[in-house]
Amino acid sequence: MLNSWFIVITAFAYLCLLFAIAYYVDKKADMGRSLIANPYIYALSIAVYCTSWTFYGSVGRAASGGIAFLPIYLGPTLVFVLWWFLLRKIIRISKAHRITSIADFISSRYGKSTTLSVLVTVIAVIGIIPYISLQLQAVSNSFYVLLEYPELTRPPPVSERLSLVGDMAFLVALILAAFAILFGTRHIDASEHHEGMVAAVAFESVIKLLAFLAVGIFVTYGLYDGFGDLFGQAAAVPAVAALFTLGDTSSYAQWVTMTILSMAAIVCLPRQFQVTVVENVDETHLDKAAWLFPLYLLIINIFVLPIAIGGRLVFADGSVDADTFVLTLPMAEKQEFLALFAFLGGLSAATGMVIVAAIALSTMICNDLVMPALLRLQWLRLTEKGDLTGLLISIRRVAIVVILLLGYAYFRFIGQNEALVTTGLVSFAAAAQFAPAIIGGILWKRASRRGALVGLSLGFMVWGYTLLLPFFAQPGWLPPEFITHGPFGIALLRPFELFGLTGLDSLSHALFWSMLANIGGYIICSLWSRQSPIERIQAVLFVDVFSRSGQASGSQFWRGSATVSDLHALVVRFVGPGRANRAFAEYARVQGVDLSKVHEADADLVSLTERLLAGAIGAASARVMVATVAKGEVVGLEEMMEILEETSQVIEYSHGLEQKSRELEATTAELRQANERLKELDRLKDDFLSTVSHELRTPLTSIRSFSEILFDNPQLDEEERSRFLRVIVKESERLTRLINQLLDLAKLETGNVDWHMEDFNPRGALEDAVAVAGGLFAADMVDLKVDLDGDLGRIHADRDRLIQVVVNLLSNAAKFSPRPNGVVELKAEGRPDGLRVSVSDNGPGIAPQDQQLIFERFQQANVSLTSKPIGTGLGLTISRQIIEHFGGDIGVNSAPGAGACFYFHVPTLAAAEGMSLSPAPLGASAQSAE
Amino acid sequence: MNNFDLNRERAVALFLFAVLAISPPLLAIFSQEGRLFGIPILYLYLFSVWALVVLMIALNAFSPPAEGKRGGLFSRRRGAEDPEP
Repeated sequence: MLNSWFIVITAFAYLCLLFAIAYYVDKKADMGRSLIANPYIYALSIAVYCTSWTFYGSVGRAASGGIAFLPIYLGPTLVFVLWWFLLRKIIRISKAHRITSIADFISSRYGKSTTLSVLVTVIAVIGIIPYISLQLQAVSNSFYVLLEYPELTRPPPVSERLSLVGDMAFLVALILAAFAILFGTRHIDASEHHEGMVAAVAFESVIKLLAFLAVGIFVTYGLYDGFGDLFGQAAAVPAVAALFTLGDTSSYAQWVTMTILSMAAIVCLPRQFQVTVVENVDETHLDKAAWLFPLYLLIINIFVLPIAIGGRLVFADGSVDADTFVLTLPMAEKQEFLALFAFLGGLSAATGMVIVAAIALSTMICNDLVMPALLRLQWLRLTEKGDLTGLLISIRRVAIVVILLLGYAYFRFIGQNEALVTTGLVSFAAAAQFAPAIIGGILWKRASRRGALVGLSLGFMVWGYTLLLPFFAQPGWLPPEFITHGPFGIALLRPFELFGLTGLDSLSHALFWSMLANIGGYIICSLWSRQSPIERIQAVLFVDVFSRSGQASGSQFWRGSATVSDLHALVVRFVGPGRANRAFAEYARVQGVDLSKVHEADADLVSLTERLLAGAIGAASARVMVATVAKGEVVGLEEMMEILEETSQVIEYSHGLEQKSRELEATTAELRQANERLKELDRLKDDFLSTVSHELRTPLTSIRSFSEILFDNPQLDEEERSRFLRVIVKESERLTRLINQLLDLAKLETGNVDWHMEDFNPRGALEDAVAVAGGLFAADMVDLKVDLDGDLGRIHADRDRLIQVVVNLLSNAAKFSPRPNGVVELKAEGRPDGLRVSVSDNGPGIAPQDQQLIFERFQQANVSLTSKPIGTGLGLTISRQIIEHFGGDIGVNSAPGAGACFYFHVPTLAAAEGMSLSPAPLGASAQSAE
Repeated sequence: MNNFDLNRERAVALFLFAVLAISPPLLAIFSQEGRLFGIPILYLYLFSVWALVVLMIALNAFSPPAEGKRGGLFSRRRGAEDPEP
């Protein structure tokens, strides 16, 4: 049943299924329906991490080292715990900058350096080739093992296998190359999603999981009676029971090494970068994938140890390669279909990895290795030639074929004798060299291009010397003495015991030395080298990606002059006219400009062009290309630092916030003040009302009581009666006056007064006022002296109101003057600052504390002579309002017992002119007025 | 403190816990011949810790907003996607 044709046909049918899935999903995607945009497909595609290394190799490893296979899967789990700091940030950065590969990422971070992108690509290709060969080796081995069914054999040495054409692995490599070409190079823009490829990989992840679980369940519950029985039987065999524990100290060292390596690998392997970062459709998918992927790892690993132990128990004689237990255990039990299913599972594990790795590497080779080189070759004149999309696609396709052929060649000529895991770990150690540059790049702004270059170079060299080179000794390309005694017999340089470091396994040894060189070079050179402006820009954009909008990819840093048509032509050449036109039209729509009418491109368009190109040919080449048409340069360092000052944004924000809070405090204080004022006014209003009521009631009470007396006592004599009537009349007058004045004050205070402002000589008004008040003085026997001599000037005022004020002052003076020797003097004089009018008396005077109060409503100086109030207490308040309206001021000079002198100033027209012409004399005169 | 910062700090704590849990000293304690429920102790221990960590990641996972500031003071929550339950 399991003859070679059946196996081959099944395998090809399976691969055809992959093509169908990818084709269908791509078709749907072209129609605008994405079938992969969900976190489950995303998590499954990340599970491309589990290759045939996991499927076959883990069991092989567990069969000799027990639980020691596990760190490879615990490391990624640890990294996914820290999703927050690392992967999410990398994804955010990559989306903003249209990063297409890990080489692009590193080169972009360190100033879009071409040198760096080339170096990373070289390391990646050299490092990953063994890994690809591992997959082909697993496919080939499993095929040959299955082919011998029902015989159980070790896979034959490669030299005894069929010729090249008949080798399953070779055919598979070709088919995978076709797949990668078909579904991995559909778009020019490598930052676009390869939906068909992702779907196929996710599907393969399901198949390999199911296949492995099927075998695991079969072994655990078919061959044995569950875990208890399996482990129980194993415990009885001391050699197998040893697998339960970790063993000696060196296993712990290896445990730590493998944990670190796998942590680096899940971030740094090109294919993991491809599926987790480049193919990520939506950042929020991480939420679920962050635990789904570790869960996948956990599930697929549950049966690794049981299968390994089962294999050890069943094939106790060691006749079967432990790397093939997954296949050979079902075969030994004559479970043909299960064996075939396991074979398909292994095939899916291998092909998934090869496809993604080939696509990722081809993008890197094209964008970061070949294109920069071609663009630099002046004689090719590539920068001037027309449509380059075809060239780009061709380079990628050729690269895919070359990668797969290299992988196959490595398997065929170098790596065939190694266990799967050993080969895989060499690749892991190579990928781990990227970790310092990546992790440092997104967390540490000072990390510089030189640091990354030196670190990567040193780490790569040490890796090559301590891990890769020894592999070449096996096919006999290097003398074995090279390893045992060191080159030229120098013992210190032995690849496995560099500088005399012994006691470590070769992997830990290599990791230690390569990381020492890598991290050391990276940090030291970063600290002792100067960053170029572009490096600083990129550093800030990468490290602070979360605090900047996703589009902040440096548009503000171009200050070039380029024409729209130049840029458009450039984009067309690299991404084709369709995409270019769409992108430019979208830009025109968003910006609201008509590009056909614009000649000079702005910085945003230059930046858009660079991003479009970056998606197609990588950041470094994109920069070179844009520079050929944009004849500008990065903005000056000074301006740039202004924009980029590490914390400028934050500081600005916090300044803004402080400002706001200060303003808020000020406003609060103002509000509080206003509130106090309102409360005060409210209280004053209440006081005023009660005072007014009181003032009104006093005369009313007199009027009423005298009226009642007159009413109740008709027999009063004539003299008494007329005296009472006089009081009544007098109080009525007082009441009327009070009410008039209240109305007057109310009008003044609310501004409802009709002012009749005019220019006039105040002398006439003053004489009128004296005439009005004259009767008062005559009646009261008070002497009134008037002094209105001199030039009084002309004032701008309301004549009647001025008279009102003077009369009020005069009548007040008359009231408070002593009898009979009262003397009141009215004096007016023209001063440089205006008219000064004073009314002085020789009355009791006013205490200093009362001198301000008397101008308030209803406030009268405390007159101890009589308890009865004289006047209404509103006269001075009204006077002040009037004088202030004239632009003057009113006051009093007095001391108790020394009389009082009320005075007011009103600016004359001359003084007002002087003020407007030259302020200096005013200041002088104001001082003299004091 | 908003959710993003809290989750981030929890993630760091969980990471440290996980690193500690699979560190050689602790492994050495569990690296014994014996079995619990018929399962080797180290095997049982590692998978239990692992399952626990995965569970904790799931409980702690939610997205920060796609845009906004990291300063902690400004508009972080604006436009935030719904956190995962």
